[in-house]
Amino acid sequence: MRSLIAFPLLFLVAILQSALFSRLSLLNGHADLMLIVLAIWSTHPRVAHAWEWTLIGAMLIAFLSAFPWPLTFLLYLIPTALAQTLRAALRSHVLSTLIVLFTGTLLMGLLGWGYLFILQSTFSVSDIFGEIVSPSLLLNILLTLPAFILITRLANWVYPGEEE
Amino acid sequence: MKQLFSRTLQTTVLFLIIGGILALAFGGYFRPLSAWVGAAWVATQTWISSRYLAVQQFLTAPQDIVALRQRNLELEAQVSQLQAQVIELQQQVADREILAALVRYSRANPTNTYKAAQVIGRDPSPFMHYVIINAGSNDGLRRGMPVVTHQGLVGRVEAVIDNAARVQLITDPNSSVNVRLQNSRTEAVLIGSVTADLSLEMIPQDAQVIVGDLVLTSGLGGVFPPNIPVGQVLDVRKREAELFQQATLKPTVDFNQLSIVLVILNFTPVDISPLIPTVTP
Repeated sequence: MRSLIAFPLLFLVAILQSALFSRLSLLNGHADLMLIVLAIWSTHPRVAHAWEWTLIGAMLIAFLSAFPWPLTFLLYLIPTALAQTLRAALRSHVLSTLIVLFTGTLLMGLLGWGYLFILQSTFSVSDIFGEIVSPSLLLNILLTLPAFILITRLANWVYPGEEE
Repeated sequence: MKQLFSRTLQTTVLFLIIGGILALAFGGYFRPLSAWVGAAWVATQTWISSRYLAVQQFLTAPQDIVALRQRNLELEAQVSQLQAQVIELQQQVADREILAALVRYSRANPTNTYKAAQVIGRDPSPFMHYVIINAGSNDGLRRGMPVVTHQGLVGRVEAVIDNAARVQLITDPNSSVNVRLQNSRTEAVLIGSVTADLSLEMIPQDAQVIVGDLVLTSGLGGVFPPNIPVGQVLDVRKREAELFQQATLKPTVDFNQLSIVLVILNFTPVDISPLIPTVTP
């Protein structure tokens, strides 16, 4: 029942992303709060509803963004799949989160590059990685620290362990 | 009897001595002595008084510090409140200036019907240059309507819901706008980019393009009304081997500071896609 908090929380994250974090840009990149939240959530060892959260988050961002919705879903589902794999393989939650975040940001660059390529839009790969992907990655990592504390506490509240 | 005489004598002598001393004093004979005594008195009293005040200050100082700290906190709170008020008022002034400029713009173009809307968000994807505005189909907005500010062209409405709409900016990599150079009347196509830089394409080689030239919408294609300012030529690239010249454009609109926009409600974009010939196998 506590996992129903996903709806208001992810709704708030989507609003914050569009109203605030998309405006706080470094060069042409900005932090992806939804990716950060989903990466931390999906890699948490006790979380049982990672896929559901990812689908809700992807749906909200797809609604807000002009980026094609199948690519938006891929952008969040692939990192979640990676997170599920890493959760079983790695014991460190922080390390798993950072790997997922790094991969997710690179994936964002790749999908954007692919989309622009299909549209035959004029762009240079160095611009995409120098002005969008790298600054976005830096901002994502900077934002992960405070988000990690909050989302981990939330996950511990939603899925209380035996020791609590 | 003898004892009474002796006491009277003592009293008399005492009065005589006192009278003598007073006579000498009134006569000015004691002035150096009285001056010395007075100076010593004043010095001693001054020293004692200053020490007393120092001790009193030392003992009462902690109370003053508490009072001062309390007062300081009150003043700091007041300063914070006033700073917040100043920021709010500055914001109101800035908004009012923008609104006044938009009103002036709409009065200068009375043929158009405008709907003012506030920019409430940006596209979550850094590859897409879109903004979200707080006016939608309930306010009469439809897909394709042009969006402007008093500075120039912003873009066009790309998606609409009841009370919000998504606007594609002219800086978006998928955006292309038919424009003309104001001085030479040369037609060109304005293209956005992933880094939000604007470039002019398809400028004929023989066209005279000068840095600083104003670029306006041409109205060709029926997507945007004509004569809306778009930007100024920043840099021209002309190569003999190429068919067309290229130019970089500085937009007239500051897209990073976009807060209020005007949607032109009475302009219906023309869909010319059925007129474009398609290759049939």
